[in-house]
Amino acid sequence: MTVSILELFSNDLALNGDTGNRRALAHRLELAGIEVEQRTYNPGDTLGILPDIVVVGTGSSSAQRALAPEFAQIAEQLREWAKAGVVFLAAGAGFHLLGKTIKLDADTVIEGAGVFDVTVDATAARIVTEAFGIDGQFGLLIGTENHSAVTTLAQGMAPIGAVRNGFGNGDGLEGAVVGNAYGTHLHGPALVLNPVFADHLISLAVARTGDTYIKNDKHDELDQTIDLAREILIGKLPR
Amino acid sequence: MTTLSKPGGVKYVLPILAGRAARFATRLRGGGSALPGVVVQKLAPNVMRDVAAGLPHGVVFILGSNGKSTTTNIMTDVVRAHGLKVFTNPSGANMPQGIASALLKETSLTGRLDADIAILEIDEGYGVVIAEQLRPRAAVILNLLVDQIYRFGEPDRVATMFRNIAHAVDGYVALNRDDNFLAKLGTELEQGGKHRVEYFGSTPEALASAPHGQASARDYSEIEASANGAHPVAEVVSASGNEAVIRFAGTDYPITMPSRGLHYAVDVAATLTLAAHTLGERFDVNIALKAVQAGKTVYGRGEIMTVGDREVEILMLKNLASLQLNLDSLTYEPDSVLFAYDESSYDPSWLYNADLSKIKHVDVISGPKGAFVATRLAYEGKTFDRIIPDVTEAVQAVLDGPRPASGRHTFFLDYDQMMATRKYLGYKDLEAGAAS
Repeated sequence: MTVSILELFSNDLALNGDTGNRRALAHRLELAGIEVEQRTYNPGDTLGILPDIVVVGTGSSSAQRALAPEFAQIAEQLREWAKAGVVFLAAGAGFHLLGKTIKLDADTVIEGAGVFDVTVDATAARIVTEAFGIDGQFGLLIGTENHSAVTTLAQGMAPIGAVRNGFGNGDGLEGAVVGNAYGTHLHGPALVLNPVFADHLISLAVARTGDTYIKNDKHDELDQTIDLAREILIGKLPR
Repeated sequence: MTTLSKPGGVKYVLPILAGRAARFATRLRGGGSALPGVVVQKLAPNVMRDVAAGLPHGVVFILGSNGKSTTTNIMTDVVRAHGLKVFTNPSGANMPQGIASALLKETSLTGRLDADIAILEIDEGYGVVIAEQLRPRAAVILNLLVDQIYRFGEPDRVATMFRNIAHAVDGYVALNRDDNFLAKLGTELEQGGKHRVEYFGSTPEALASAPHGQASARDYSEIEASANGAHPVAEVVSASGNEAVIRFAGTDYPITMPSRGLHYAVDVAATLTLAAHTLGERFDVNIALKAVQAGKTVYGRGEIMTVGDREVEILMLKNLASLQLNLDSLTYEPDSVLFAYDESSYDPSWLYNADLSKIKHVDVISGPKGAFVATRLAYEGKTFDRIIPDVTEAVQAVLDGPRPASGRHTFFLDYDQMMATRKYLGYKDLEAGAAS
């Protein structure tokens, strides 16, 4: 079987190299001998058939404003996919645009696609955390955050983890999880520095396609290099 | 008493002496260049304004995400070739204290700068503050690229900075009509009526010839750019390797550039536009283009050095655009590559937006954050031989290795790594460095 990965708004929502998330998933799958189909969706494109994984990344507030109607057009389809168990990884602006609402300024509240039951106040002071650390089921997630949002989860929504260093949602927790959909403020991009997280998303996806994801020496070699980069950021966490 | 009638006069003797003492002290310590500027400005806050006001042709600002140092360098060569005495800041010294230090180094005890014009590269984050002090008469803005996201948050904030700086410029602004943000800024300034706005640009064919164009950041505003951009003062007709054709006043001029690429050619077009305005009737395009072609590249920006029986080409990577445009402009396939990344480059996420197809293999990865480059390459399935964090050791390891078939090592270096590498290779004419 082929695992298909769809990146939404790859031209607008990749401000922090978020295309790297698609690359990371595809590369790890391919190292395990699994065929991957990579697609992108941008305004004017057709969404196409059901993918196994949807990724969407970070962008400026003006991009959020401009893309809100685009998200509205595909919101229903995205919600259906999420309900059907499609794996989602949404970072930054992409995460927020998959939420319920985003307050951009005193007069402007835009609607998101509603995959995540979260509301976002994007009028907060900008937060930049070079070594953004999150503890949770994936061990220590590490990367960078750079946003100006306070994110409020509705009752029953789970976070990805607890913030060890940084701001996250603003209440000591970070991100949101619903079914197989994960939203986060982590970039670097998120998956390239966090193979445990990437492998978890892959395991969810291959459970859908019937593939078996077995890692080999090439993954170990890759992960050794990743560890060197992780160590740089881990070394910057307060002790 | 003619000396006292010159700007500043006797009231600046003591502050400037204090600044010189500070310079002497920092030199002894081997430290940076910004402190003397701090000292003088504390003692005499108006000294910069008065020094600048004494220049017959005033102050000219060079702004943009990328190409500031290069364009400042070209503009300085062009204006000097027309017989004017130019004061300019060392590349990288583009923040207030660095500029103050550079300016005051050349200023007499009575507050007079022996120059006809000051041509200054300016950091966008400090442009308004510096403009308030120096009251520039003209500015060029080269481009607005996705740059330093960890510092600026998003490109729109940089657009606001450029807008505010443009409003603080007294009279003339030259803009890149092919830049998503700047074309619209030009329209806004035209409507404001306070500025004379002129444009430079590239033909659609020239833009299409570069695989990633100019990598201009996206502008989501709904303003329409005015039609005036259709008539640029100078236009890049073609750019391939070091060869370019620049159209000026309806005539096409083939030139051989000291450095490669569309981005360099655009910097030349920007310079011609600004210089033609600044020099007025004195401007001669033939003199200008002769100066452009005789110019040297700025340190580390496409500079080729000879080390023993090899060449070393240094290409600076400060953001996606600089790396991508340098890669795009390569006319050879690099067969010996060193890649080094700085500690002070806080967020290497952008590496994942780069198209690295021109690089097949990296010999040595270096710098405090070299592991991020290694990780990026590993995800692309590209191989590298070694990671050597210390850049001087890395450079030596490359030079100790076999001579590449091309005879040339290609170094992609972040700013600090570039400075350290040049120093290690015996190039002592270092620039002042970012004023920090």
